[in-house]
Parts: sequence; structure tokens; C-alpha cells
Amino acid sequence: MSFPGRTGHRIRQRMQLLLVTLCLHAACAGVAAGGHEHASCAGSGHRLSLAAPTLEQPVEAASVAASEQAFVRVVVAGVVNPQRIPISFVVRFHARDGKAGYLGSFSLFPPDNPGTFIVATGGKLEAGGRVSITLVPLQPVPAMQVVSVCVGSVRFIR
Amino acid sequence: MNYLDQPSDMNRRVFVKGLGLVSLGLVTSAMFGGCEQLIKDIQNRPVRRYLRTGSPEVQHALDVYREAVIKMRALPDSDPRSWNAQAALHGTVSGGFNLCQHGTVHFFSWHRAYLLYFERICQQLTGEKSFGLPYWNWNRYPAMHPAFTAAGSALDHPRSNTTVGSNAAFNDPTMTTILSDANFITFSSQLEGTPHNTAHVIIGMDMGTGGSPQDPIFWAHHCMVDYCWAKWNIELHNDNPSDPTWINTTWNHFVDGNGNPVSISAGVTPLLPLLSYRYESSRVGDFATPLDMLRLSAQQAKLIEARIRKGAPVRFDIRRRVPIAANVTLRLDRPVSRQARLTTTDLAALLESDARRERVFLNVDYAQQPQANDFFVRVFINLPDANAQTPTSDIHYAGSYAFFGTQATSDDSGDHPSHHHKTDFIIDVTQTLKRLHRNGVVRTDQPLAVQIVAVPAEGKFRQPAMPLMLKNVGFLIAPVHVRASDG
Repeated sequence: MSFPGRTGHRIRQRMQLLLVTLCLHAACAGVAAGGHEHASCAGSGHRLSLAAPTLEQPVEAASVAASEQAFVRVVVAGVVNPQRIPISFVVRFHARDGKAGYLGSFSLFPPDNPGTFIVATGGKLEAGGRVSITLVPLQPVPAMQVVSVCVGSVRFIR
Repeated sequence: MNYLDQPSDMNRRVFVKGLGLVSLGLVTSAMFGGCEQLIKDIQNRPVRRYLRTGSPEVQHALDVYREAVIKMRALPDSDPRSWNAQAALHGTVSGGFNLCQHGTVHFFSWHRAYLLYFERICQQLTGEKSFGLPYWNWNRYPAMHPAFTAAGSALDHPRSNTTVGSNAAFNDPTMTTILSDANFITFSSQLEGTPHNTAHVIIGMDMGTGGSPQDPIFWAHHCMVDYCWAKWNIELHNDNPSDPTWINTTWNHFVDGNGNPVSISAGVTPLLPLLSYRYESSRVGDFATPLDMLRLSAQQAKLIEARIRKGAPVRFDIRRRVPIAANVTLRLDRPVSRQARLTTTDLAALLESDARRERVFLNVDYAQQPQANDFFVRVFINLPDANAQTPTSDIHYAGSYAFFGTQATSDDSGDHPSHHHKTDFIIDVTQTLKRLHRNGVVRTDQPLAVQIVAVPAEGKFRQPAMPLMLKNVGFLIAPVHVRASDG
């Protein structure tokens, strides 16, 4: 597309200005989003996101039999969820032979509020298996929305 | 020993020694041997029924509830019984939680007291003294009762969903597992994190925020949570804590049906389903209705009351005190910051372990009741610039408390226990310290500082220059021991 003469020059100038403005907006938005993109997760924490929603914790042979651990305790240490998309966490046990079993779930309320949560094991844990924690949005998430959660620790308790 | 070192933004008020047990004694003696009218009132206490269609009693309760909602919404916000004022006790849509208890050992007890006085307001405004809040048993009826979704009804409200659908947080295996847990703390934590939280966020919009009581379904949802506690405690014979700290924790920020301040201790709340209302039993998970709470004999009620009073063995021992300040006077509109001779290094073992029993509490003891009570007090750790605009979502936020009585009401109260207004507050700051420590927000050699910030309840202080006299501020380090019931 081309515009002849002075009119065309003015239009080109305005379009360039518009383009620069749009770019600046996009850059600023990018910076803003970047600043809140991930939940702060220092130390031994594990970050979950919509793109990488699952973490796994091995069930090691400990002094106490795995089957005697009554609860999986999950510390959600930080949450970035600016749109407060409702989120839940599903906890499963995966045995050594690959069979997986549902243990339970919990949700954040409000959806950007960290906390400590427990899910009963029902005596299903076995040494050598794994427990997985999966971040699950409870409603469709619009494109480009950020949900980032720092899981501070996952422990098995009696 | 079962023990959950769960997080806690637990706001505790230290009660006058023994007073909680005294009030408990007064209430229970009235039940089985006191004034005849009281016994009659207890026998005829309101029934909280489970929501379903086809029941004339439920329909009547819904009609009364609808009328109450309309009347509460018509009251000015300055009336503590108004819809907005009641919701603000819990929190606000944009500002998060205010005085409600979440993630603490008072999740059940605080919300039970909240429901009770809300119900009393509904009774008073509608003139229906027998009104009992209906409860939404989402385990049996995943979809809301149609009364809450009828277009134009006062019970309708903007929501993302009107059903919890087939989410596993509400199904029979989950609810059976949770109700099978005999330990009060882990039972409470599971019920809160799983069906309670999930219902809030699935329903969404206001229900997903601190301002969730703006949605009329909030009260039916929390009534179900309360029913689960009553079912666990009364029908299924599990015990609540007997720890004096739990029992004596007292709240003065509720009002009765006439809008007058009331005082209620956590220790009284387990008795409320026996004294102030009763539940129509319904099935939850695999647990049917082993005990019909609408038809308890006097003998059954007496046995239940004795067991509930006994509770389960729980201990709370203060092992160490770290004074921060004494005899400080501050202005209401000027936050105060004081430093302790304590660093996170001193607390490293506690802060770096999820298994330790110790918790760190902040104790704020006022020299006297303030002259006005139109404010909340928020506590922050190591945030020198904290002010009334600092949100509760800030990582430094530790908890909040409020006064309901004033000097005037305290002076007029004589010796009546229900009118003693406490000036000691205890806030569990363990989780805040852990967050700050784990995220590297506080240097290990940096002294811990506490900021005490008054926040106007309605936009501005009526007396901004009013003095608040702090008698003592200090950290308490105390393990909390919990054992499952020994029968």
C-alpha cells in the first residue's frame, strides 16, 4: 500500500507513530507480565505452571513404613495468578509397576492464596513409588494467562 | 501421635484466665437444670435443614432467607447487621480476608460463630425466630437449589458455575475419607482445603474472593461445612481440642440480632448445635444418619454434652518469650514499628523444618480498650513502610484483629462475663516468617521487626488522633501438641 505526495507522507508519519506507540505498549506490557510471570521459588521449591503442571516426589524407604504415612502435606509457598483463575491440585500415587491411583485434591481459596494442605493417603503409599501433584485449572484458561505456583515442599506425614 | 504443623494465620485472643470454661459451664448448666424458659428455647431451637426441592419446610426457610437478604441489603452500611457489614467481617472482594479464620485451628469455630449471629440477624429482621439457615449438601446435591439461581431473586448472584459438578472433592470416597479422620486438626484441614475451598473457587466470582459472603450461597455452603463438623463431632463421636488456648480464644466482633456487640469463645461453639440450633441430618459420603439430631432424648443429649465438654487432649505450651516493646502510646492513624532482639537465625531450626511443633506467635497486649472501634489492626513483619493501604496479600502480612467493645461498653459492663472485652491478642506469625525466610526476603542477621497498622473499617477513622496504648508486645515461641482422641 502506498500514498502519494504530502498526504501520503503525513499518513506514513502517523502510521509510524502509531506503530511506535503500539510497540512501546507491547514492550511495557511484556515487562509488566515478565515481572509477575513466575511465583518466586527460592531454595528447594518447585515451580508449577500451566505448561509444566506436575511435580513428582519419590516415596523412599524410610524408618517408618510408607503405608503408615497418613497424609501427603503440600506447602504452596507462592502463587502468581493475576486473573485469579480457579485452580486445584490433584494428588496421585504411582506404584513401581506403573499403576496410578487417585489420592485426593485441594484448591486455593482465593485462587492466589498460598497455604499448607493435606491429602489422606489411605495407606496407599509404597516405597519405591512416586507421588505426583498436578496443577489443574477449574475453568478454561484464556491464552496468555499466567498461572505459576511455587510448591515449597511435599512431605509424607503420619 | 498425629500432629499437623499446619500453617496458621491464626488470630488468637487471650481470654481472661478461666473465663472460657466459666461461660461454657453457664451455658451447659442452663441446658440441664436452669431456667425453664431456657430449656424450652433449647428444645425448640431452630432447625437447619438440607436444601432440596419438594419440602415445604425447606421452601419456607428459603422464603425467610430471601426476605432477610433483602432487609439486610436495605440497611445502611453503618449498621453492623447490614449485608455489606456482615460480609466485611469476613473480607472484601478486592481486599481479601479481614477477620475470618482460614488455614487455622479456628476455621470451624470462627465460621460457626459467624453463621450463628448471621442467623440471629435474619431471625430478628424477619420476625421468624424459628428460622434456621438451610445447608447445601453438595455431596448429595451437586447443583445449587433452584432458589439460588432464579432470575431476579435476591438469592441469585453473578457466578461462574451453579454446580460443583462431578469434581472429586465432593464425592463419596473423598467425603468418607475426610469424615473418617478422628484428629480434629487434620479433619479440619482436609475439609477446608478440599470441598470447602474447591466449592468457593468453582462457583467463582465473588465466592472466589474474601468477599464471598456477598453471595447468598456462601451461607448455605458454610452451613454445610458446619454440618460436617457437627456430624463428625456429634453423630460420629469424634472429639474437639480440649486445649485451654483453643477453648478460650474469644471473638468480640460479632453482633446479635439487634446489632449489639457480643462475645463468644471457641469453647462454646461445639455446644451450639445442641443449644442454639439443630441440624436435620443428611447423608455425607458413606455416613448415613446414625443419630437423628432432631429427636435426641435428654439422656442422649446429656451424654453428648459431657463428651463434647471433655474434648480431646491438646496442649499449648509457651516455652520462650521475646519482649519487643512495653508501654508505647501510638496514634490510630500512624502505624508503629518496633524491632525485636531476634533474627531468623535464632529461629532457623523452626523455620526450616515442616516437622517442628513450635510456632511463633506475636502477642499484643493493650493497656485498655480504645475509645472507638471503627478499625481493624493488621500486623506485618519487617515491612517498615506498612500502612493502611498495604494489602493483606503482601508477603509480610501476618494477621489481623479487631476490637469490638470500647472503653464505654467495658466500663458499663459490671462483672458480667459476656461483657468483658479483652485487650490481649495473639497472632500466629510462623507461616509469615517461613515465607519471608524461604524467599530470602529477610536477611538471616536482620532483626525481626513488627509493624502494627490500624485500618479504618469504613474508609476513614472517626478519631484519627485517638491514642492506642500498648502495654506489651512480644514474640511467644510455643509448641502445640495434638493427640487423637483417646476415647
